[in-house]
Amino acid sequence: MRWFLFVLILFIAGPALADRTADDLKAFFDLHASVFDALSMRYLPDQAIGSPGGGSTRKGKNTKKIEDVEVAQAPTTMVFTGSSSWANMKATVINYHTHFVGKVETDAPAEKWILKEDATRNEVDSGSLNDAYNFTIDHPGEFKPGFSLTLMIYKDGLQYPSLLTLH
Amino acid sequence: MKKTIFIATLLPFLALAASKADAKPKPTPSPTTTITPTNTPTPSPRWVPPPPMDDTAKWINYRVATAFQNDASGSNFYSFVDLFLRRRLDQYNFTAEGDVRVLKYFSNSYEADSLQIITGDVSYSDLFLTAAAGRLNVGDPLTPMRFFGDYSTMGLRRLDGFQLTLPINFSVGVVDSGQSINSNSTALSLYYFPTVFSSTYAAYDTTQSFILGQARVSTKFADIPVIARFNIGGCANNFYDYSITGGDLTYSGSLDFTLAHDYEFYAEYGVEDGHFSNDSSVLGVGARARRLITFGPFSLDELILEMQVPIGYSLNNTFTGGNNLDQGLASYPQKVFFVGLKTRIKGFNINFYITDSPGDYTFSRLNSSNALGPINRQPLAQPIGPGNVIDGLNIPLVASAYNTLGYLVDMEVTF
Repeated sequence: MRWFLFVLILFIAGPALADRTADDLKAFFDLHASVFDALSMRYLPDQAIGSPGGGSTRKGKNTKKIEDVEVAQAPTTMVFTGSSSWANMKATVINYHTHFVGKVETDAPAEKWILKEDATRNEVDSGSLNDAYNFTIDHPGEFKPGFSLTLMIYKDGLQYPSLLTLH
Repeated sequence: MKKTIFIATLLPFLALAASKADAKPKPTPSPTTTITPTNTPTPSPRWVPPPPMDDTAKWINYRVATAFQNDASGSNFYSFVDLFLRRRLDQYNFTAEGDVRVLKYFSNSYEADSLQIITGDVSYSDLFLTAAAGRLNVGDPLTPMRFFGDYSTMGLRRLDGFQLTLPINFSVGVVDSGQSINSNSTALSLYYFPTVFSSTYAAYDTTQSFILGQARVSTKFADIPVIARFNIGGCANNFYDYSITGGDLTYSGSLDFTLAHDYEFYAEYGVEDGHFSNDSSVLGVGARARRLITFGPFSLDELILEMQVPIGYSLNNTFTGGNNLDQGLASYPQKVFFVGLKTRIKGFNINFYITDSPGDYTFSRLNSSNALGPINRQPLAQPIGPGNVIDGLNIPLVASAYNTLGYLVDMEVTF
């Protein structure tokens, strides 16, 4: 008898709860539709965590805005080279405007990288490496000239700092 | 039964009532409250743990080798096991490195004949400096030569001391069109060694202090990478004229050209005692080729050719065959050479080294018949220091005379 009552409750209360959740989500989505629209404009189509078919899952009135953003803020690529007493370095920076990616190559193994803002001298990002000759960094935010990248180069049994200015 | 039906009827209403009770109330306009951020200091933790020691934080490598050596030390078969340890740069920018060797001559015994700390240093690296202390690898930073050279330390490639390195000029290239711009890069290093003598004659009361400075410049000449090194140093007191411990300046300079990554041409000119610059000057030249060729399982990994040419001559220079105790035993220095060949059969390395150098411009030239001890001024009972050592292997190789070849064959596996 108790099993019968339990199953009965599930049959009756379950749909009611499920319906309530869907309604709440829809209401929440409608209430903040403008926020979603604004956020969607910050991303290019190829940056979306896309659906299996690719591309954005949101269609309709925002399509034109996204195209405008793509034209206005296409990724830009810059190449910076430099050398220290211990290594020659090259960084290819792709600025996606919402973040930037740096592909770094060096002719001596590196164990750490440190990204700094020259103006403030603040360390804004860093990462450890495993005797890497090439590696990639991904930093949020717009790339602006004025960053510098320091690599800790392993040479002759010690670590030596090697600076590559990105401007 | 009636009771059951009553409960069953009541339950849907209870469930519905519960769902309504849980439902969020519709948002109602409310006065906006402004939250003013305050700078609340984050309390620092009472205790901060040391950096984690996972597998990525360390690097360990091994070498097991058997060698036959025939030189001034005699003919010897021996085996050795090398343990290379490295603590990778941690989050606080500290690192450490150690090379330990256990060596045993061929015999019916389990006991090792020597336990050596070849390198053992701790270091700190920041954005603007590198500082290290311990048993340092000074051979690679100070000279491009693989066997001869390192004249500013009498050929010593491992020394106990302190190192401070400052990169003072960085090269910057700004390229938007795929072109590259490189400029010179310089680093200054300062070394302090309490002594450069072997443990028998070492004194740590600053009387044997040796200070060495280096300027290192990386540049390009006709698009060929070049590293120039300039070393200058001096010992606190005069122990041996014509050497770096003569109480005068010692200096050396070297150039290292690298072609296509695998071909190196280098030279070093050194004056071991600035007061006797005409009689203690020497030139070393060499070439090194790496990753040469592979025939089936057999590979030629590296070939090193070096020559040492004395520039100055004096029968008083004990470090080049002179003898101040018995002039009848004195001789002039000669040109000497060194050949190193590293081969490999799949993962099995066979290396050959040969030289006719009796150890000119190193402490190994001093013995009981031509020199007195640095402290007690009695005839030397023990060597003051080793001769030229083979780079990477860290084993001295000294021919018994100019016309006699000293050689070493090394069979090893690294993993």
